[in-house]
Amino acid sequence: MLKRNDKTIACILEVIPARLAQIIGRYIRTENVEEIRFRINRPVQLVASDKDVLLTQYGVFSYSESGALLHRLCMGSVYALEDELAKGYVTIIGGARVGICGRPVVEHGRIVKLTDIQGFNIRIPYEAYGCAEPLVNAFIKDGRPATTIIAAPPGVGKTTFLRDLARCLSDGKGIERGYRTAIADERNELSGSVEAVPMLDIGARTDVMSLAAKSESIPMLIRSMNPEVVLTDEIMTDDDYDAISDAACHGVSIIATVHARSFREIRSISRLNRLLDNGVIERAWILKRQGSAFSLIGETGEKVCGD
Amino acid sequence: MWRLIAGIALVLISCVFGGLLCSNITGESSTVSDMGEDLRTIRSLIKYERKSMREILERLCECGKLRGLWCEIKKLFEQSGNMSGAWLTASKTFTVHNDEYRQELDSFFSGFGTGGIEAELSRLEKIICSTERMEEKIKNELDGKLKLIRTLTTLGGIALALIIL
Repeated sequence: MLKRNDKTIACILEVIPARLAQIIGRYIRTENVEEIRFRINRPVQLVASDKDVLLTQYGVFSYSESGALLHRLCMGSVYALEDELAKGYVTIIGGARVGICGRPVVEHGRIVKLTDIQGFNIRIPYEAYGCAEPLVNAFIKDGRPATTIIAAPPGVGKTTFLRDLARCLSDGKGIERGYRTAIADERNELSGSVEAVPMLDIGARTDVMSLAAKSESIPMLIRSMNPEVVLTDEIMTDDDYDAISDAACHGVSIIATVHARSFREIRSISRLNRLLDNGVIERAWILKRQGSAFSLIGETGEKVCGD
Repeated sequence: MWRLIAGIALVLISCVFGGLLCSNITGESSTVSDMGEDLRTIRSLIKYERKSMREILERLCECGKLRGLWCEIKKLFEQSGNMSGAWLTASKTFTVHNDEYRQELDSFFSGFGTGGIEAELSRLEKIICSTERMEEKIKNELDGKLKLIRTLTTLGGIALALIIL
């Protein structure tokens, strides 16, 4: 069920140094590579789910290759992606996200720029068509999407699942009808938008507000696009929780993910605990993955299984 | 009587001829002026809309003053992703006779897109200033030339008319 988009891989191979494209392409296809890491003056590292490989026989990644890679990642327009660079990542055509590290320039206590870039981490996104379809009914209550929290530790596939859930809710897969769906995509991971066009399939009825703080984009989406449900990844700050409360007051459901391994951890987040207790958040699920199939576990132990 | 008519006709023809000559030599001036206009468009697109290079070239190709040049650059940029190479190849058709200004343009476009927003805007300001100076210089030179051509052709026409009379 979990698979990569050939177009995404082709786009990645186009931006990486030509001398490495062939060997990295072979590894991606045969070894299930999830990340390609470039560090100046060190060999390229390929990270798969169960192992990692250093391409020592191909020499080190040079300073000039780093400049050229940045230029290609930004499609020749470094200035246009300066805000994303300051946050430490850019999204390339095809939807892959590239983490970038270097020397931050700080002004008034805030990182405004990243210079002396020395490392890149190209994360190859999974496409998991249909992974949320058998579970989508667990997010519907009284004929509408319920405000729900999906919790899981890092690496389970929250973002992959949430993206497919958005597609299912939007296209009406596994449910009676499609809903007006919106995504508050702060880190541009769910939609992988490039020049405002989502590179990943998020459904026909889905609107996206990317690269803006959730606390700002959720109210904007509600005001401007009149969604029935808003999906967002990794809520953390008080402002995020405030945005969820406000959305619930406007009758709009929110489906959000959070880092937590168990209900005890969920309840230990005081803001989240309060929202669960007062019914603003109607449901909470722990997301589990076995192979490529996802399942959901409720607080009382009920389990909803996928394929 | 016929001689008088022929003389007047000669003077008129020489004036028209002078005008035609003048319109031919204003070409470079309008090219530089159009470049200035397009550079100002680029500045706005970067400053207020943070448009990428591809989007800027698309816009200029659709409604820039030097559409042919930008469409060619866009085509080459899409093939190679290299603005410097695209400019150097496509700008061969861009006629500017001042070497210093030409070098400034080459240097600007060879690094265009590689810097942050502030760096790009300050480089744009600089090249726009150079273009405006160049425009002014060509205009001044041109004004002198135009006056001379008009005077000479008119005087030539009058001289011919006097000979006929």
